Amino acid sequence: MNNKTILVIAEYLDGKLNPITDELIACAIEIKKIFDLKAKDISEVNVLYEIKVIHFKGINSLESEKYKSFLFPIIREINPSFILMGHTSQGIDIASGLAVRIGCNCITNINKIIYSQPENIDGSEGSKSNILFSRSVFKGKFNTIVGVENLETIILLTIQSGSFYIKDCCKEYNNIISNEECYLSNVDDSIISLIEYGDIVYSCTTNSKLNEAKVIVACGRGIGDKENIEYIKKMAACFTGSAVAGSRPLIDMGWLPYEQQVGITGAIVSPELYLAVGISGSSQHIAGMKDSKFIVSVNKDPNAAIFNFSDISIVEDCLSFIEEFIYSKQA
Amino acid sequence: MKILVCIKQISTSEINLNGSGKWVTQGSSSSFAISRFDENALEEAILLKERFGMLNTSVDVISVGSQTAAESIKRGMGMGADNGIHVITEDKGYVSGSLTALRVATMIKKISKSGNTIKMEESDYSLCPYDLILTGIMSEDLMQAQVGPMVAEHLGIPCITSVVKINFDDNLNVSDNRIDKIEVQRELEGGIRQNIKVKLPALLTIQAGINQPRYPSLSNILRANKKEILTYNIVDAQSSSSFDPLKVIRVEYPEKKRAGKILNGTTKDKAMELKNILKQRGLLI
Repeated sequence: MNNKTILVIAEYLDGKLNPITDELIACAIEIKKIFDLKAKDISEVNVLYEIKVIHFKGINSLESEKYKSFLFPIIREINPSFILMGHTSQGIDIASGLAVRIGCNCITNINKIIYSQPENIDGSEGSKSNILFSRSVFKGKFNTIVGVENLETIILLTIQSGSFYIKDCCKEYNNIISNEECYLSNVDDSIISLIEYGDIVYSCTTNSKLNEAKVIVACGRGIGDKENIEYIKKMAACFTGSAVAGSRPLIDMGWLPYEQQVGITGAIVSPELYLAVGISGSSQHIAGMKDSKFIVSVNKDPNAAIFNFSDISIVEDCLSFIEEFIYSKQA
Repeated sequence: MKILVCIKQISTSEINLNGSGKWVTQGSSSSFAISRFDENALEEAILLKERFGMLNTSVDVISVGSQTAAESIKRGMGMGADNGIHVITEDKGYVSGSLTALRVATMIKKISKSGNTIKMEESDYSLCPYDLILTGIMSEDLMQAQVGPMVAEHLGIPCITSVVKINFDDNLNVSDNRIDKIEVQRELEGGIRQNIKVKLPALLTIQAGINQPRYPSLSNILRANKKEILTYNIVDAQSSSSFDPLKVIRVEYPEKKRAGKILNGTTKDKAMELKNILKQRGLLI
């Protein structure tokens, strides 16, 4: 029996387990299922994939250089087939550098694991493996489906949050998931002395205004000009209990204050109605609003990613539509 | 202080699936720009140059990409960069972060700087020729967020990602005409930030919002036009695209997570229908 390991690196912040860890486990189960299926197909039962979740203790995972130096020998020892980390600020800070150190493949921001018949992809340029990975590109407009040529090399994946869920059927896998705690020992690496990790600062972005609003009218770069925020305000005024919000690029350009940002680095909202105007729908924005009860989007690009997350899709020029909507409401 | 900024040129024209569904095509009017986060990195470098002019601060800009990338390098020089380095590639389509990082790092290792002049050495330089390397947190198109941390790892220097603030003033340790240590703030989720001090040389990946990139000035454009970009071809076999471990199988539209009912008719029809839907749901009075 030849055992292979899918290694999940549990993510912690302030000593608390980050919910992304559950998604990593769900993703690990999907990978395992693909290899179980493959084993069944070719009656190859001598390879068993096991899922190992490692919880690192006694180390602040925000001290990335130290964390990398600590992880490296442990990964060498386990020699897993897959390493899963979150595509979070921590994952981004650690994963790619670690992959170079290990000399392994690195695919970031994965949103789907795909089982593929090898004959479909076995071309001169294609991958020969059964497992493919989907990742979001071009502001979420497309997914690229990628594979690696050689599954013998470790593959490090970072997982886009909100992409995998622990379903009921996962319960049967509980007995094959092992949890391990790992304590920090002294790491001898000169790079650690070059960097000094300081305090965590909480800026006041978790503002009540957006969280309390029943209706949020949010705008993105598609509105064209800073002055056009007036249109958004007028649109918001059509609803009671409404607030105006913006996507990250708009906040970065200084069109709206930081407190009004919806997205993974801003506010996470779930109002009764979310009206997205001129927002393309990058994963960073979607993560902040996907749980809204009802989502209406206006965008002139019929293939904008935001429409995949909308109940109502309106393909129109944002400003003309708002004018018409306000007019029709008064009529 | 010697600063290097790694930039990527992206297409700003409309992007569609190509006929085979294996990659994308760009709209007929090919227009290009510097990827937004890289532009922030470049602006930050130029702000540092303006602030630390007395330390003979220079800013070089490097890009790995096709012939058209020269246009973006020129723009960078127009913004105020001193030298441009172009590593020309013929790749079409997806290039993995690890390949780009390897190409950038291989080039950096050969650079030696005397004053404001760049020389390419035959053998690898033992020390990092730059005090500070800046790049965007990710590219706007492929969004891998890999190149920065990977370049740092190849060079053996510390890396901090998602930097939203570089502290110019606090207790700067200046010796030998160079800054010894800088203080930065990186951004985490949900409005949390982390303060970090790092010894130079170091690599920082820059998050948007740190600054507002300037437009190239006329005098800088004229100066940039007179100056040649240093161009190099990929010669190292290891950095050829056939060595890319990642293969793109196809490109597809993401699946719909919600119904996404499309409203039809004129703008007026759509506005009326939305009004009615919202009224029915009690969201509009």
